[in-house]
Amino acid sequence: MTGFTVSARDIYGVMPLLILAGTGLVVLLWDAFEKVPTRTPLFLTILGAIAAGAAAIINLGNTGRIFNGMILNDAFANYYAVLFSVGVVIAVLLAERYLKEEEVLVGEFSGLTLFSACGMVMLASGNDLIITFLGLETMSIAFYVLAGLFRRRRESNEAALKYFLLGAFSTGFFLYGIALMYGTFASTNLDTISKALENPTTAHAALTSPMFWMAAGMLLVGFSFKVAAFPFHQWAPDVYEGAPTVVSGFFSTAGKAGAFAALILIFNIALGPIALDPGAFTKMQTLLAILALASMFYGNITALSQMNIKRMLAYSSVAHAGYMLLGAAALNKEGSTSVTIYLSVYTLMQMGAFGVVALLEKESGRGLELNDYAGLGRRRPWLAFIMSIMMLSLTGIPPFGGFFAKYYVFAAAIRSGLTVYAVLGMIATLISVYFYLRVMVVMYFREPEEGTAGIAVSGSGTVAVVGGDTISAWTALALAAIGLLATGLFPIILTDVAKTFYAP
Amino acid sequence: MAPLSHYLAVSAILFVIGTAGVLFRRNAIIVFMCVELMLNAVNLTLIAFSQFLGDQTGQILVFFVMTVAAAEAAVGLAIVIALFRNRQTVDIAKVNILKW
Repeated sequence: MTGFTVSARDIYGVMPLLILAGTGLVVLLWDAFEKVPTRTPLFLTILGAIAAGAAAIINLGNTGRIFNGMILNDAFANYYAVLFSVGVVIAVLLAERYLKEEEVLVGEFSGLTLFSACGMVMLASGNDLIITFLGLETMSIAFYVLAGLFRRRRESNEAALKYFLLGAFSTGFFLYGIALMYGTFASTNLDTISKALENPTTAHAALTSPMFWMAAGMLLVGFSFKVAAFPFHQWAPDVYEGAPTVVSGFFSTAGKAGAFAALILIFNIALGPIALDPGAFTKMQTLLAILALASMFYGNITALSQMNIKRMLAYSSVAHAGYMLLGAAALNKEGSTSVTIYLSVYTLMQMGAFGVVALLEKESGRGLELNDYAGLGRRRPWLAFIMSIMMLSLTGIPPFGGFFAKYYVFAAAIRSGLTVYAVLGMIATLISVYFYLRVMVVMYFREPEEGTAGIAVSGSGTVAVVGGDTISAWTALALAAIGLLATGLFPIILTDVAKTFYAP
Repeated sequence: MAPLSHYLAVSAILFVIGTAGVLFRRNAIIVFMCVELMLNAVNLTLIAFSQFLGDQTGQILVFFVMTVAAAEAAVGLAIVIALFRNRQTVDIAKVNILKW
């Protein structure tokens, strides 16, 4: 065995990760030495995220593996790094005023957001189950703390505890899956696993052993927890409701994207050669598709009865995890491309929706009920307009990005033979129309009741609106809305990106 | 030497005990200890595979798992302390402001 050396190519390849981690450390130190808290950490975070995104764009043309095949450095990994950087930038822009009003020190928020982004980058570039595990944990541990950021608020404590206990529990399953995968293939490297499945003899041995299926099942349980898919979604509504709103938005978009990137790398890319064995292929497809359908129906039907807007968005995120799982269930490169497209659009729309909620939230977590949104269309027309774009896009109505995202996912599912599941999925989408459009109906057609009117009244002096309007928050919302319109009107942006990934 | 299946059986049993503990115990600290038990059960599986396959990857992974578990313990106990300060309880059945 040759000695292991680190070359310049390796270092350049992980540059986005190094920049994110480095900025995180600088931000924490800055915060520690600052006598009077300022907003500099947030500014540094945005700079760091932009730098990491730029480094990832430079690396976009790379192909191949670095660090002895442990880390992936290709268009896929770097595209996701860009996506996470965008997520961090939007989250920080939205957080600026929100955190100040809630009197949370911005240093912790900035540092933890950057460290969780490091974990996501590792997830998207992990070509070895060890890296995937480390990425998942780096991301999750930062998230547990972020959920409990309002440490004097009981809801926040509770959200952190629930997230932590269930997250750690799911880690156990995920790790058991890795161990059994290692036992089946005698390696944790995804390339080695892929090669073993291409070879008929080793593939047959693996696919007929119960150990392989237990491993796949355990990994799926772990991933289902992290992406909040049915039946392992129970933590999501509580955690999204209790955690700071901006942080909930970050969990449900970037966090989900990170976990899905790893899921795709393992199930669609590494286990891709499973398609050579039709029986096993169908079995795996059915497994994923059933999880997907259950998530869609459960998420959408439960969201119908939610009156708290954050809980509604949480259940809707369960349903969206279902749509993406259906794309992943295609178990081929088209499926993984469709999921990537979906995640890009979903990050913009879900983050935008949570951003509007954060702007309207009043102190100590009030102003989050659906009725509080009555009359918003008249009092805050622009905010209502942005919220409407997000809701229409989440529903999947053209001309917004959400429509094409759903189209690609269902198309990928149909082309890989999952027609029945795709049709059922579309029915689930129809259910979701009701609760997304209800938000718009409340905003535009219902007058505020006495006593709950406060939220829509801005600057009247009677009610303090926590989020308030700031340039940074509006920049973030405009970024998301324009992104959705652009991808909706010119879906070629998305397909082009996708094509560059998987050039033959 | 005992065959591989014995090691796997022991770690599977430990894993199930840990899972049951997480599901049925109500004290946050004990639930957390059960999670640690699950992780250590997996460590045992990894070391057993590593030994029988003659490959070191599993043992290296175990080191990472132990490091991660330590980091997780630090964060987890901090969360429990923050909760205890606000609520004077670590009983997860009583932590129910949010609909569970």
